[in-house]
Amino acid sequence: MNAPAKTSPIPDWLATLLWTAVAFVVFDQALDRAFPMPADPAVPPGRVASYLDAGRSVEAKLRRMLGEDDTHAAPVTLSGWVDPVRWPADRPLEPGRRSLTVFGPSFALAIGDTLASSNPEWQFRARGGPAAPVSHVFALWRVDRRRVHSDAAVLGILASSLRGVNAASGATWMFESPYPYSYPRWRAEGDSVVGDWPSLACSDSMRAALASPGRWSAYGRELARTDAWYRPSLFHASWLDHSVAFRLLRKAWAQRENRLMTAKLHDRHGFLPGAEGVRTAQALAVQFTREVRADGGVPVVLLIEDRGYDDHLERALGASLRAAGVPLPVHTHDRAAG
Amino acid sequence: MSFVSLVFLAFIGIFYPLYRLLPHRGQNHLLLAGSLLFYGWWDWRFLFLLIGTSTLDWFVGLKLGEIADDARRKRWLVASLTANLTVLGFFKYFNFFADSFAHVLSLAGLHASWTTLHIVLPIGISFYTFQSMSYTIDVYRRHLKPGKDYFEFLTFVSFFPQLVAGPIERAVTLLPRVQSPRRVTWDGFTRGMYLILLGLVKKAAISDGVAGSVDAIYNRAGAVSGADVTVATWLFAIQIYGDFAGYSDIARGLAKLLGFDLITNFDQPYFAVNPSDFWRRWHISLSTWLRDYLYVPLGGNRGSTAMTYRNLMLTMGLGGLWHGAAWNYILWGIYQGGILCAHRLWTGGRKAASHAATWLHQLRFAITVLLFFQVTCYGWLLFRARSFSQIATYTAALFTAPGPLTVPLPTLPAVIGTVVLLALEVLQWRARDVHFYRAWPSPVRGALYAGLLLLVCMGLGNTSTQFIYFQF
Repeated sequence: MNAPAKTSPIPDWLATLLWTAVAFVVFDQALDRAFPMPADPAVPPGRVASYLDAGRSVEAKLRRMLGEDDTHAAPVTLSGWVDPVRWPADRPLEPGRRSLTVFGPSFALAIGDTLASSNPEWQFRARGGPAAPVSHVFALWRVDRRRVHSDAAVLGILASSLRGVNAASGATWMFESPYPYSYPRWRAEGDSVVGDWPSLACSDSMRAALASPGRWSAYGRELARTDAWYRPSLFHASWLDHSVAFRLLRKAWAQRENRLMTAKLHDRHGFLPGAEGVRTAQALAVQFTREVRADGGVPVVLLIEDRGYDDHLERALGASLRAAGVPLPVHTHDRAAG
Repeated sequence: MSFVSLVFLAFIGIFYPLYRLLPHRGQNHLLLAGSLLFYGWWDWRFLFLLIGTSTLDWFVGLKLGEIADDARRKRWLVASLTANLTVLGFFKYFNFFADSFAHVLSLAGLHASWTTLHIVLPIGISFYTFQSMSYTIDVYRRHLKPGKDYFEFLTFVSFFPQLVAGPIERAVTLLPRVQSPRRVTWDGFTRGMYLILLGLVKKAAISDGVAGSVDAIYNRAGAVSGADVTVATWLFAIQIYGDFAGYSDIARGLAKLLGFDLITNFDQPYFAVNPSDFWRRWHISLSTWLRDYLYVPLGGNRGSTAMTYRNLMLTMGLGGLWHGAAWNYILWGIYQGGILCAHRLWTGGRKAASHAATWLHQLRFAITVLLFFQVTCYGWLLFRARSFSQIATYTAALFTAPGPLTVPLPTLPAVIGTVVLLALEVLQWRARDVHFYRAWPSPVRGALYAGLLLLVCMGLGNTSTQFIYFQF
């Protein structure tokens, strides 16, 4: 081994190393205290606080977002739950009007709203959640069809949310801005689709689990079984959440995991044929169409290409869904093109 | 594998302790194996090209050492250069020239129907080809004795810290370091670590952090304002400097940890006051390579004024082409040649005095630096643009569409990192010493290192992009 030179200033080197460690801890904790997240989850954080907090564990973020109860929770956490216990009450169907229910992410809900406002015979309802993947949306349909008949039902599939199809919670595949809602990870079996319903299906049950280490561990085990995006190191809180540097490194790790997971579904040329997200989305769209028709309604499947996806969703799903008899009247890429 | 990756961290974590344990010959064998693994990690097929061209140049070097007859020696040199440039030309430029030729024919109403080959560009081919070529040229010129040991030569060409993005080392400096035992001192170790840290800040915090803002304008399909073009181009100047100088710093730092000293590739280039000054500071290993192996053999400034300008234009045009198979790189090279000629015409080739002492001179210097930065940035516009029409549109926007400014803000680490880097460069400038920080008391140095480390942590959360210069 090459020995260090005998004249090496080891004491100075050691002193510098120690000072580096001390300064690092001081800077780290100073930043943590200088840019805290607002205690009230309804108050939006500043840019710096938000940046430094992005790598906090999912568990810690959920605790803050959910608050003590729904009145103290961030508004965004109130939507998307598959348990209808807190769903807003539906307006009774007005005479002479027909019901149009849109199931999808906020993009789809906005499109449905516009459609309904320009067609007065339709009364619009919406079921969805922020950035909801099609598996989540399909779960909402399954719950909703038991409660309300829709004359027309729209299933919105968002290109960027296809990644979440093999997840079981909006908290795992959207690490930096997680949503607490959970949903089944569906798989095709024969002519139908099956999935395990999540044990935490409303905000109250999530809060109860967060308050009980045993239930929270059980939820972790459930996610480990059902959610391809679940990573314990990203999900569970620890004392390291108090370190800005650790949070930044965890954010970098989460981004790496995100890239690796996304690479299994999508590359710059489009969605990969045979990927779980593509196969499941196709099975769910076909099943949705079948069930809406069985209920006497008119099914519509809406493919929404958000920015950066070109016409990838149409190329991945369009032809096969049309061949399977799924009505795809229009696709956002065509609308944007002309 | 990229320096900014977990796989590289694992690689160096295993490689370095082993390297430090081994004697000199063992170190060289490990270095060669590690370098080939490092390079082959991208695509193992690239290794054939690297080993093939290196083997040829090593063999030609031996022949040049054996033969006394100048004419025969020249033939061997020409054979080596032809082979190297053919390989480089084929892999890097074939599709470009084929497409350009087909386009010219189509303008004349002719349709060229050949299949464009989908040639994968081996990473770093321009760097190691130039490095290998410099060896045969130096042996031919009798500046260097040929290396007898094939594996030592291959270790020199494939030396992993600088293999894929430079600095382009000369055999005359690097090969003897491979051949003789190396000593890693604490001083070298700490300097190396500082360079790595600084390089990571430049790459991860700064370059990756401004990339999104630059792309938002340069990849925009719609209209842009002059303010957008100006700010996005300033940011691109920061991005490309952070990316390339960051890589060079990491490469030099790693080399120091291994007991090697690589050439300083960037010497505060944005403090340049004229194009000649800029090229003494920017990508120094390439500019000196082009000077020694192209500009001087062409005649340099030894002939008439017209010949000097021709040589400058030719050298910079080819330097532009070296960067990539696209017309905008050639245009950038021509622009650099043009401003070098204009500067030479203006000054008559005299060098300006630097580091003036009075505040008036310093103010004048600062203004000159700022003004020349704008000239450099217009070059970056040519470099970054994706087509001639974009160059024309963006150039027009600079003069005809002043506002509004819609460039998205760079990330937080990019903003902080740029301020910190600028402060460090100003301090270095004032101290006229690269190692100015080593005179600081250890608590202050500790605070500097801790701050840089924290910036790296912040930067790693930027969506990672490849080093820009890998494509060259």
